[in-house]
Amino acid sequence: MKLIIKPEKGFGKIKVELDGELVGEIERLSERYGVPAEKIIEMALKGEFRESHGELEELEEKTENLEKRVWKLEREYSPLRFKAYGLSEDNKVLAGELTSLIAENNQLRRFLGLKPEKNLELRRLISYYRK
Amino acid sequence: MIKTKPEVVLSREKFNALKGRDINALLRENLPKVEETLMAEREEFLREKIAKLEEKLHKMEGEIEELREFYEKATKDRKFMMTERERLKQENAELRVEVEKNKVHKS
Repeated sequence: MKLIIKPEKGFGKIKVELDGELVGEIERLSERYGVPAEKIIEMALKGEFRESHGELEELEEKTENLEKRVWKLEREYSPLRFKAYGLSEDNKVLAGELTSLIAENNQLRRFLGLKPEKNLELRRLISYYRK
Repeated sequence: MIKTKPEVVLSREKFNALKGRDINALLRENLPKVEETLMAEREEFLREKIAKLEEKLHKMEGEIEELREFYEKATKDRKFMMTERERLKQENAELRVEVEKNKVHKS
């Protein structure tokens, strides 16, 4: 396999035949880290390197665990949200029915000279769900 | 797979420095350092990903807790409102009978 190296500006090129073992190693790195082979060659030729903290395996494991936890929560979240929305809508309808029943109750009581019902807890709930 | 003729473009300075050098030997020498650099880059990427995942997880846990509390409250409220609906229906029916009786009595 022939590698061609060119300058960014100007003319000229270097042509090199890469040996099989080297090509195999470049391919291995390319596949393992998901980086194009040209990028690997470029990095090796530029000679600008960084040091690893040797935590790759630990970080991979931590990421995988977190992803699993997020996935699990997402599976719980969507149906719960759907159920809560349904319940809230049902309560809204119930609050509407109760408003009519309370109005009728007040009218009947007034007609009969009775005191209207206060039922503050119920009124509070009605106003909460009819918002 | 590597292309049959991979091409790499370098700065003029780096390009000039490579002239006359044994490129195969240089690559062989530097590939372990490239691997370490790739590992360092992956580690950095994973650290950022972990931070984002932890933030997302924290937010989701809070939201789920809130949702659970709302669901429990709404279930309790629904039960109470249904009981009240039945009670009011019955009471209104009784009151209507009383009103009718009063109307007849007055006329």
